Amino acid sequence: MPKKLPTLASRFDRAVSATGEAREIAALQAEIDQLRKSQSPELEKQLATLRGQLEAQSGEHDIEVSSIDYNPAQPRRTISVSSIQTLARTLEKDGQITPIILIPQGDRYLLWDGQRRWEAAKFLEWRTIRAVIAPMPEDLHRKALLTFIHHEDLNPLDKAEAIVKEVASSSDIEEQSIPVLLSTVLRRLERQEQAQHLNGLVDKPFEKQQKVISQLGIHDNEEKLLLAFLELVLHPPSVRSNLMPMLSLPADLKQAIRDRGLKGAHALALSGLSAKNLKVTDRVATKERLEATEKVLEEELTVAKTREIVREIKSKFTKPKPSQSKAVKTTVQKLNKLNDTSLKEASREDLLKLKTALENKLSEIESILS
Amino acid sequence: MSEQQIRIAILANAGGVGKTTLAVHLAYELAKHKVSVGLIDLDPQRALDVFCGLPPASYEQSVVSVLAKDYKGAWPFISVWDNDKIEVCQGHPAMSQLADELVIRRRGEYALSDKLKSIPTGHDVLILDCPATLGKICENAVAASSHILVPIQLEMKSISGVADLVQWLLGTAEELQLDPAPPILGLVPSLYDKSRSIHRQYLEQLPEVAQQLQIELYPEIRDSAEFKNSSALGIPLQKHRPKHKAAQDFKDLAKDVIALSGRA
Repeated sequence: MPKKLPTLASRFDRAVSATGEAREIAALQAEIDQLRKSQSPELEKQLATLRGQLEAQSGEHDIEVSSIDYNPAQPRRTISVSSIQTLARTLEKDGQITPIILIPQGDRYLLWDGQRRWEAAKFLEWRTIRAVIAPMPEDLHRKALLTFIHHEDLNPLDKAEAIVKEVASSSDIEEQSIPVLLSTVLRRLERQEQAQHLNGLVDKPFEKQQKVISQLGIHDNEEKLLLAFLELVLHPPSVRSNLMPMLSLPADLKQAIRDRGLKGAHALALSGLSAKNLKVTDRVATKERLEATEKVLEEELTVAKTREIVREIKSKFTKPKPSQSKAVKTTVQKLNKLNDTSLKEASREDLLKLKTALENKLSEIESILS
Repeated sequence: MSEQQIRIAILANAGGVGKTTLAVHLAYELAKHKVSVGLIDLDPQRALDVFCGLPPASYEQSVVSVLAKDYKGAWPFISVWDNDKIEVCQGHPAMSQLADELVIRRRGEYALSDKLKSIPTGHDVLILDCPATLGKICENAVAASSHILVPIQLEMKSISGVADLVQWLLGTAEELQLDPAPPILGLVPSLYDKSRSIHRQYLEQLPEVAQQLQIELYPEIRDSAEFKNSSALGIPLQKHRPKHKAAQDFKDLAKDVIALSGRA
């Protein structure tokens, strides 16, 4: 047996978790964009109108950057440092084009719109920033805002259920059959090497989406299904791999997601501890899963670490296949090489030695086999 | 379906793992299917010249001059292997100096991308052969590309390089604000020698890693002395020994690229 080599999986732990994070951020970003587009066209329109009205009425003011407070209910996207730096460069070069919107609060201001510009201004150490002051924004779009906040807290399970519900009502397909239908159509498209046509379709206009989907040659209800996801600015293959698996999680994991804040990726990893995978009864598998879940939650394990303990538990239950012994194989080969002629040519003494050696080994083998 | 040029950057983050071999043989396979291909050698070591049987190009006839700030002419592409579907834009050692200059040039990471926009090359597919070290040149390749292809030799040096490469790509795409970020088209196990235990073991483990990274895994390309023979002759294996088994190893990959280019 050659010396065991280090496994590849551990080498890639960091790359895997970075990929996971990037995917999660992209998914969140897409969701927020979608919410901005689909649920709050009013919000955008109202902000624009408001900005216009305010500029006309009270004009723009230079407000001290330090007198502005962050809005804790900020619904906007997570803002990366690099995007702030980029904006800062533009601001420095071209100046501030659009004023930010502020709400007065005593002698300070609450930031209403323009977080990136504000962050960039702080980055540039500007003393003041151009702003318009809004008097009474509360009644403007409370509803839209609530939706935002509500959605940011949504766990992947609730998200998956909400999406299925929404898609079911818009496409007129039964809720239960959506996951199966989705995975069937995607698998077929992959087999026919058509799946790549879905790439990048998410942010295309509806007419374009419709055109592309209609050229795939799939059934009517499959077309409807894919379009329904795209309408929610969701990429069907990532819905299948990131959200749909949530729906088929065992009850204990679903509960852990809902009640104890278990993350989706962790739950998926833990779901590998199934009766089928471990080749044990449901009860034993559930017990293993509950224990592992507890450990993951208590020790706040990373996804990579979670996968590792799942691997460990799995290997405890599944016996490794005995590896082929090279020594035995070569010995058998060599023995077969001893043909009639070479045996006849050997001395009696050598033959006796061989006989004893073979007999000794034979009894050893028999004791192991029995 | 799409008329967008497919631009594939071949990145590895390790030397001698088969980047240029992959570039050349993929290009030839695509050309066999009437897909026009432009090969651009971004590596100052200009290994592509050898694989294509070309004498070294002068600075003026190389990609380095195109990337110079005020270059306004056409791309100095020349066709190779008597095949009008494949054209090569040769590299030049001065690429190293250019890389230093790009650090301070405005939009230095986008030099190649900007140039391809202002002077389109007209090929269906562009293949960018990149240097082994991740730096300004590779950043340019990423910014200009629509897809990334990663050859991976099943040995620790190359494997570690790929793990780092994946993280580097995510960071680079974010910093350069690439929208969309070019996805990794796939990992291509290269120089595979089935008589080596380490190659067999790691090939077996690779699907799980690829799945976790959500990256496609292509069939392995076997190592063969004939690759060395054909590169010495300056032609691809498919031309040198069309029946050779290793010459068939590029077919799956080529099929996917052809589908992407919309010329299937």
